[in-house]
Amino acid sequence: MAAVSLRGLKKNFGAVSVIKDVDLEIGDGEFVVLVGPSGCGKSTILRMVAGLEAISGGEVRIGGEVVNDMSPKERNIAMVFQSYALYPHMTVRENMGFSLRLARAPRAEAAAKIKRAADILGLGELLERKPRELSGGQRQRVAMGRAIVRDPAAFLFDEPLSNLDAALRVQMRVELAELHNRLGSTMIYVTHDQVEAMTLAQKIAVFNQGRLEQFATPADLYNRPRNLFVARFIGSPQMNVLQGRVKAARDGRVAVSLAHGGEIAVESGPLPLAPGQPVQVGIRPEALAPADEGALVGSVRLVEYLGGLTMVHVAHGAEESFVVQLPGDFRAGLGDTVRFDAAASGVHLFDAGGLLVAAGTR
Amino acid sequence: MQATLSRRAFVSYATRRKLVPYAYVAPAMALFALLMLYPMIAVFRYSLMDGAIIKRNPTFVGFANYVANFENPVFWQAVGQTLYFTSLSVIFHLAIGMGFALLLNSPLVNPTLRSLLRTLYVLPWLFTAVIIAIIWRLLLDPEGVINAILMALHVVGHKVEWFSSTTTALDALTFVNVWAGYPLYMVSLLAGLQGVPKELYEAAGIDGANAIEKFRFITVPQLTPIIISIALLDFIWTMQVFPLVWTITGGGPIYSTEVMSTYTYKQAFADYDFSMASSSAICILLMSLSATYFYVKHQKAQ
Ligand SMILES: Nc1ncnc2c1ncn2[C@@H]1O[C@H](COP(=O)(O)OP(=O)(O)OP(=O)(O)O)[C@@H](O)[C@H]1O
Ligand SMILES: [Mg+2]
Repeated sequence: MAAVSLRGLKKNFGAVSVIKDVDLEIGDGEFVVLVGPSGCGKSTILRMVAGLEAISGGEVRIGGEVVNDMSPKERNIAMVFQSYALYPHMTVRENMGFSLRLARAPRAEAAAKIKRAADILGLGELLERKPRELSGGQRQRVAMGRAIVRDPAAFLFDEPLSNLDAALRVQMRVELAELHNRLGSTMIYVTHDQVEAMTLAQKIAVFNQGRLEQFATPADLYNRPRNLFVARFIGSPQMNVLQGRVKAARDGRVAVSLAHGGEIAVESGPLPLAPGQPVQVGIRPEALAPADEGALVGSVRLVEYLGGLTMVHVAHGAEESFVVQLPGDFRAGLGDTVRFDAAASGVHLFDAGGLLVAAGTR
Repeated sequence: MQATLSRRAFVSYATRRKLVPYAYVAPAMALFALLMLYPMIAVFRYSLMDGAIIKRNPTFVGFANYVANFENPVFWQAVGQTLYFTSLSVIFHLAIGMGFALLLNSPLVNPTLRSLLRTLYVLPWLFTAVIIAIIWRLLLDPEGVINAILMALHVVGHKVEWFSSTTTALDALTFVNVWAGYPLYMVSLLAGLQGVPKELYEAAGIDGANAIEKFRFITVPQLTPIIISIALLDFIWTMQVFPLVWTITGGGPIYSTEVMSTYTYKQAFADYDFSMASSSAICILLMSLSATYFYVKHQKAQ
């Protein structure tokens, strides 16, 4: 177990800069999730920590030691690949014991470690099978088992659940969380599934185009996203964004008039706002509730019944629209005029450049 | 409508379904019988006669021709030399083919150099046996380039008569065959290497494997099916190789490079004893069959 820290980390592929100056401090025993859209460089960062990809600039430290020039072997990390990368010609037992065999661990000790890992993951029955004789979920477990037997300084996971079906993914997510509780090891986990990120992580790092946008707890990311990108990326369904202008800012409150009618008030944030300044208003779909005198008016475009929840898509003016998340028993007809009020805690203001200027607090 | 549905075929559908595969392979089987099976049976019949083809009324002599072969020390010398020639060829083909394949697959070699080497390394494959024979008879001539180089480097003290001395001829011949045959291995193994998933090496690296351990625990097991297939095929082919041996040494000097194929050829076309030649040919067939047996067994296990 060890802390992992990235300082000014950079990666170039030829002339293309893929990772741009990333600083990240991951505490000992922390479960950190790296999220971001496809191609933003999550895997590249993980591979640089593992030693599979050369580092173009900055440094990676594991347990306080700079590991830039160390081979993967010397870094003592374990990695679970998206494709699992199980050795096809070896049995489950041999797959899990491979690192111990290479390290020339005593036979009895290796057997005990394999047994312990197999017990944790429920693989006891499958030890003599070859990977091709296993289901996707079982392979995933073997890949995990191969990591567990190592007692590594840190676990690295690159989208380990993305090849599983939805039900299995939920189950494995729970098992992973339990595994972390049980082992208490440092874990760095890459995904682009934000539900996985929110449920597993103690802290989430959100990346966009090779830059770290924000590194915070799931609650902080949700409540105080640093910019519009993070606000949109975290939370499902996505945050609504409407255009508006500051009408008045005084007594710790900001009143914003929306471009397509209606007015919304937010507690003012860290930066001073001048009347007339254009802002982007972010409203969480779950922060909206129907109200007879509601400030936000629109007509129903689409209603999605999901059972426990109903998603109502509302046209707001000619160009804008927003989504409202309501209880399952909410009923509305297409074209109905509806009015909503926004809970102050779910409204955020961003300036024209997308930076957070005011956030509703809980 | 009803009528068409209930009309019964003369032969039931299930029976026809079972017959179809036989119909498909029938033409091939007929050709095989005509071109392979018939000559094979004919050769076997000749081998049991005295003076087949050349005598008007050849007599049946049972296994006398085989006994005569087995009592001839040259026969056994040829068998031993065939096995020596074949085994060394296969081993060195594999070693050299693997070495070059690894080199060509290595990211450490720059791409331009790599494509240049690739072309260079497959060259031996482009020559027919006769051309290879001419090239190497010139190179290994006592007055040839190789001797000149070796003498300049003080590896040998005199002009070695590579193909004309009984002590070196077989090894020199084997060397030429190795040179002529490794590209097949190289190309197959290179294709195999390119098919090994990169993550396996990455996972092994993280598990703590060094380069040699990666080769031993990932590369070799991944390539084993290819290695076994080509090694067995090569074994069967090399055992029967004729043009190269015939055009370089013709089996000499004094039987020192006599292999089964040249031995049989001489019986047939120098002594005109087709019965003896047939019995030798059957012996080659049996030796090849034993290797084929392993090949088929391996293919089934796949
Ligand atoms: N070997 C390479 N050569 C050149 N560019 C590369 C290489 N590997 C990755 N890239 C580029 O680096 C960027 C980041 O890739 P990376 O695989 O880290 O993305 P990711 O965030 O893991 O995406 P995904 O969620 O799709 O897995 C991409 O734009 C990709 O095209
Ligand atoms: Mg990735």
